[in-house]
Amino acid sequence: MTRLHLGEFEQLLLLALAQLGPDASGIDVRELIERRTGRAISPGAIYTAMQRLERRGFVSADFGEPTPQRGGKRRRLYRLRAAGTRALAQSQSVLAEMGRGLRPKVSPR
Amino acid sequence: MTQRPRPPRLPRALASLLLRGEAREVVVGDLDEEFARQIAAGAARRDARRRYWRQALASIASVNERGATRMVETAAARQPGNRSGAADGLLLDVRHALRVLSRTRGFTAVAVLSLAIGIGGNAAIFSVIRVLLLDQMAVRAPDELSLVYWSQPGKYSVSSMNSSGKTDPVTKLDVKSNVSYPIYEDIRRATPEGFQVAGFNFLRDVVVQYADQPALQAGGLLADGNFFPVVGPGMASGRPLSDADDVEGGTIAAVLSHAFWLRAFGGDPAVINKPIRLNGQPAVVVGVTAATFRGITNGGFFPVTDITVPLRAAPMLQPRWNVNGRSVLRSETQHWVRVIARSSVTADRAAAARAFAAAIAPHMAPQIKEYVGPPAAHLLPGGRGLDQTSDDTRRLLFVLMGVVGIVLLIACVNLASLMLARGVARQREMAVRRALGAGRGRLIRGLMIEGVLLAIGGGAGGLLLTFWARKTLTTLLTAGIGTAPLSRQPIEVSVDPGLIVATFGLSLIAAMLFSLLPALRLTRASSGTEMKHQVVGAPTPKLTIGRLLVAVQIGVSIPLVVGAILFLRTLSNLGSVDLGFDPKGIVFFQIDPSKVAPTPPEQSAIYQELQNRIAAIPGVSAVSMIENVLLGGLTSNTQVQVDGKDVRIAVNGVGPGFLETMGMRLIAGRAPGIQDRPGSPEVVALNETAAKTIFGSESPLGKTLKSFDRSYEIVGVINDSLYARQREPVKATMFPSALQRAGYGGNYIVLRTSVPAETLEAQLRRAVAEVHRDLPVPQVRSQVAQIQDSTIRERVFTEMLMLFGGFALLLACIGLHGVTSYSVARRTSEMGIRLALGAQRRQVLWLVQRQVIVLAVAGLAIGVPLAVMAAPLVGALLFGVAPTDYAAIAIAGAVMLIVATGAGLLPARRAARLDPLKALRTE
Repeated sequence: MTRLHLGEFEQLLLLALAQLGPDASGIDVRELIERRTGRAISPGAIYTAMQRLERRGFVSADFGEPTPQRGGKRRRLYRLRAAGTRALAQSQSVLAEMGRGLRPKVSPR
Repeated sequence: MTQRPRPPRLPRALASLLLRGEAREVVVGDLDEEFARQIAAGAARRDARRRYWRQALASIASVNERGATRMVETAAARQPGNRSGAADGLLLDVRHALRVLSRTRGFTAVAVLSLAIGIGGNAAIFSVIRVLLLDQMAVRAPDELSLVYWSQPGKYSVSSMNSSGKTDPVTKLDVKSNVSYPIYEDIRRATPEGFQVAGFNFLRDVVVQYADQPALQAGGLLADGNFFPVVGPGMASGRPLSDADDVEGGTIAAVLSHAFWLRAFGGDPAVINKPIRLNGQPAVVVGVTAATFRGITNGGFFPVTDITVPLRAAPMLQPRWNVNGRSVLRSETQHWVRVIARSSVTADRAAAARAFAAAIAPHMAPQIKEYVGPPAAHLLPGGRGLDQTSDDTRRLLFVLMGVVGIVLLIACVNLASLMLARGVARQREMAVRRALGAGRGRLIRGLMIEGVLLAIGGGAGGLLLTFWARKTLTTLLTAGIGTAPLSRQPIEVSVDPGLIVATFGLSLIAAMLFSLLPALRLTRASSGTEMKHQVVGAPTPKLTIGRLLVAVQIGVSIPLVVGAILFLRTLSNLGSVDLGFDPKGIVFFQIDPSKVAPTPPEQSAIYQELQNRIAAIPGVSAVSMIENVLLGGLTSNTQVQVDGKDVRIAVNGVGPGFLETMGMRLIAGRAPGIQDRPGSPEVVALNETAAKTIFGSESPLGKTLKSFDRSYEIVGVINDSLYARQREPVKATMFPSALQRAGYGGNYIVLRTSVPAETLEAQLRRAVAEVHRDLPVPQVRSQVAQIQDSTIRERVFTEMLMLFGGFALLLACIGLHGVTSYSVARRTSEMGIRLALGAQRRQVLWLVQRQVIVLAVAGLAIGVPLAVMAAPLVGALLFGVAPTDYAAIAIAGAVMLIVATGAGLLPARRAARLDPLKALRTE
């Protein structure tokens, strides 16, 4: 049973992945979200949410090469899957539908 | 090129510890990369570190929240129907405990915080005590080392350099550390089988010059060829000193300490075999000791060992020690060698001591006026090196240990009474759970898990506090050691893993214990009666133990409050002492021209040239010099002959312009001036106390003072001023001309200025470099900062007492508030009846407050005798106030009563505002 509903944070992550293209790292996602929304997000929050999205089949993930910057640890690289794109589109349209007819300052642009 | 900044260690370790497997790799990697990116983008290191902290904690929280929930979910899925096995049940209990604790956030915060402060304070103070009083030197088998001391009955006169007397703990004899070089040679020859001895001593203020870099001042150690084989420190690089190095004359072989190698040579490995100059003499670096070896004093603090040179280089490096042109190596009256011995732990130390005493005897016999008996030698434990910790510091550390111990005790007691009170409130919950079939063991386990969780929180908080407290402790240490504000040295107090384990163990034991008691009590009654009680509204227990605990808490916090008041008064008394000079605007630094100019006229010329150049600096209104800076902790003394009697008198050489610079007054005659240079008749001024004690009401002007082979004409009397310490009364002091004493070593240049010392520093250093480029200037300081430093131990101690005393008070209030609220809740219906029957609200208020006051007075009854008993411990550290100062005790008692009444006021007002109808309905 796959829920198609996405929470706000999940939508943020999927939107970021859509913006960044394949093989984006957690840090890239964090920086993009922080730059655009001003929201500070911890690596741990991204990691757990991404795991959830992986389990639901919206995102696929792989390990990259270890780098000295990371103390010899590997990066986790994320990629938006087709199911993820669908779920995102649906959530967005639900929001757009609910906002229809409202003044522009409330409705999503 | 600076090293790339590393991510902060503590949060990184926490994250690595608390995250598992893949999550650890990804999240810690992300944290590190984020940190690196921030630094690369030019963020301030401080900001990046702070961000790292925040992100790490947030990450741990979000990963573990998910993880914990999932674990519990899987556990529940595996065992449906709640018939769970022990392991899964434990998880459920943990989850339940977490939920309970997060529901009562105020309780949790108080419990965790009080444990954290109690544990953190203990760990921090203990880590200082360990470094200072317990740690052995980082050498091979330190237990095998002993320091050789000796004693000689009868009267004789020798000069001792950098010596330290000691009272032998076994024989209660006062013993000496130093022997002459001829004695040392005989001791070495007389060393019995199975023993090895080495000779050493400190050499203060060695001027080190390397290539064309500015000269540096370093702490030196003289060591003979046996020192390295006997003491056995490791070497980081190069070779140690050997017998072949310990020769008179020629190039001096020098071993650097690891810290000095880093500080002065940037850790350059190529420095081995490079030529340097020490006090102007040619020398060569032969090795660097291991980083762990920090010299031969405990903790390596004072005196600091930066550079080790052969013992026989002493006549060249310290010409002052030679008497009348005769090498100190051949003098029988100059005692300057300390002796350390190594032997197996089982070797016969008494026999060795007899052999050493026999070696000393023939040297001492001819020097003694009336022979009483032979000398004795003593071998005292030397594994910790020379113990230079002053008794005051030692006592202070133990008092602090006691203080933090009390705080931990209060924290535990507070936790216990909170848990008791809380437990009573949870009786109904327990009764329901038992009625539903929960076993007593399961309930106790649940309560204890809550205790353990609190302990883990408290322990972690305590660790954080320990890390943060290190800086304050370092200040306390730097200030508290010896009397050396002038040779201040950064001190490393490390927090070791053993301490961390002990800390957590301590908090676990405390919390388990204090959760077990209420747990046993709570689960004792059969479920039926408890439920019935609640339903019918019969009285709940009176919580006698809880009230007793609160009284104890108040009691033990009284001595802390009294102590804080005593030290506040001490500080204020010290601050209002009449110094006899005006410290504001005085800046000083030390200079020793004898290191670069051998003859007194040359040195005198350097001083005068320097005074002229400094006087020309804008903002400097007066300049002079002084042998020992005032309130610097050091005094010079001598003897003068008056009417055939020896009178001890303090000495302080002063330069021209001294009175104007220091803001002091002339009483009669004149002060030493520019005309009193080498070659002209020697003059002194006396202070009023000296003039009065030596000459009474006669005028001393024109009289002559004889001191050993010198005689001084008294040219003036100046006003009294304090010399070495604010705590000491004015000493009879004579002030000779520093220009005429130039050969005796360094002087301080003092100047009066309207400009801050820091602003002036560069100009002062330039002026010195222009006069002579190889003259080092160790430190430019202001007199005000110097005075503040001289009371830093008292100030740090006051702050700690106020901090811990305040905290103890706060905890006592929380406890008091807790039991009072509980009692109000318990007696709600009684109060309702009283109000309904016409009791005034004031009377109800008093009903509650009376209990509070009874508790506070009971606390005082415990606390005041405690304070009186503890007072002698700090007596020596106080100034101008008696340790059992009744005013202080009265103030502490009043503060306690006021604070207690305040803590009881909230529940009391709640009781007084009860609506009698509602109160009766709770029946």
